[in-house]
Amino acid sequence: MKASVLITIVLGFLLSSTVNAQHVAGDYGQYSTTVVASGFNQAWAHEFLPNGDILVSERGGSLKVVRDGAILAADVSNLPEVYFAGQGGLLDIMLDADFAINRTLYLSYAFGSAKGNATRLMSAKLNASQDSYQLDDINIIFTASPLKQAPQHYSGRIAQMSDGTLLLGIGDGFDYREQAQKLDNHLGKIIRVNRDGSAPDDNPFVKREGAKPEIWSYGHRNHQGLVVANGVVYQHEHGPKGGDEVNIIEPGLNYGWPVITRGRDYNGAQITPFTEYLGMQQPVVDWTPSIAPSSMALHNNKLYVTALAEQSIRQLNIKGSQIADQGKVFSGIEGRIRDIATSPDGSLYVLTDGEQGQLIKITQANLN
Amino acid sequence: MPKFMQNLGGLIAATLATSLLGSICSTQFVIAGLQSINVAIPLATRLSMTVNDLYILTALGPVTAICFIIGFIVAGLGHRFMGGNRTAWHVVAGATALITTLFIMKAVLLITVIAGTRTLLGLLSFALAGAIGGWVYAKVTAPKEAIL
Repeated sequence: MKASVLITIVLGFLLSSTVNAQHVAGDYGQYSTTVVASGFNQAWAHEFLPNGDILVSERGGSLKVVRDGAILAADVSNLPEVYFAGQGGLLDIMLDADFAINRTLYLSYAFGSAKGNATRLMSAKLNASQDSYQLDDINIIFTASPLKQAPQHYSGRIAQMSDGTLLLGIGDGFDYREQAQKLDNHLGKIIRVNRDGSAPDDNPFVKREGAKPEIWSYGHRNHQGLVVANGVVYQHEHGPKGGDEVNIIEPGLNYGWPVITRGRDYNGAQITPFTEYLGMQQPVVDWTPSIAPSSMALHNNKLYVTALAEQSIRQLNIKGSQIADQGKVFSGIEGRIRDIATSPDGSLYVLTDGEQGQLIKITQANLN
Repeated sequence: MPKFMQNLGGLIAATLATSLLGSICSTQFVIAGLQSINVAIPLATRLSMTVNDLYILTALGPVTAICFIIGFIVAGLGHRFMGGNRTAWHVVAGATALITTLFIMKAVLLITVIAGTRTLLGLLSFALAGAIGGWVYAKVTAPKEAIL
């Protein structure tokens, strides 16, 4: 009896996998994609828990749990109230490097209202109880300053360095692009903070009068990818119409926005007459016209970048301090790919946004 | 000249005047933004950027024309039924129509579509451009007796 039930379950699983799998031809051969779960509403990021569960953030303020291919009925509870407007809402999720010990995760989100809002970073303990999770010991560890009005360009990507400090990308707020060049605010910056939100003593502007001590780099527009690999910080950001960039981030450096860019405003007007300027860093990759990079993951020492406009995944090969864009690994996933991450078993997972977002596993991927 | 053609000519002239002024003003405010962060903009660069930005006329022109059609119809009706100075009606209509359109686009798109209007002064420059468009329309379409 038990054996027949087991066989039925295994056959059912294999059949469902076969049904869900789609084979996609890419620049580097054949790939298979399998829909792991679907029905997410405005999903933004996902993160793998050690027990195999997967957390998925929805911009509306929900944190879903995917277990064995199904979304649990109960969302993670005790989430903060988010400002869900424009590009804002609940954004990134990241487990602490010592999550197995401290159960700590970090969430970024848009906080505030139409009159004043900002990118915010919080930490919490993720505690499980039967078929649900809840956040405890919630700490708001960072809020970008000053508050702004436009509900755009929050960025919100989080990464952690080997010393445990946290990096957070903060967008320029769209209407405030010149602020990206000023050190007295957090707009258009990458900030680096300790786990408790305090500024590390070795941050580049910690001793500069009038500068925000949390600033790690500046001159950014709207970061959507932030990855730390072998001590190197890789970042990508949306340009306007053209001028999407991949940068290798060094502390204290100016990455140029809005003084240098190869992009133009959406109406065709020039943002600036310059593509180079003294003291400003050039991107290692420039995408003009835009591909609209939305996230980035490290896999087998290569970077994979999802692109909203291009609806594809690009592979970037790391060659020392340079990056070579190898083009589309594959395209063909329906919908806009919002997020990409490497699972503990080494597979790539992507998340599509929209009102019926899907979590998709890329299987049989010969991504070498 | 038939009245329709006169109105069409007025609309085209007003649209051209306003979009041209709007584009030029927007560029100057974008440059002012760059200068506010200590970026040096030589005169030649300012001029070339101003000329390059005229490209936005392809988008700004149609939007201006549409909002002017609505604004000038309202101004014409207002003048007919409420009286007053015809030119003043169209000047106010031109400014109001353009600024209202910018506010609507911002409310819908959640961004400031024309970067030069992010500041109050930049917005006022577009109000002025709209007012000038209204003035141009009023003059081009003025009844003969009014001209004489």
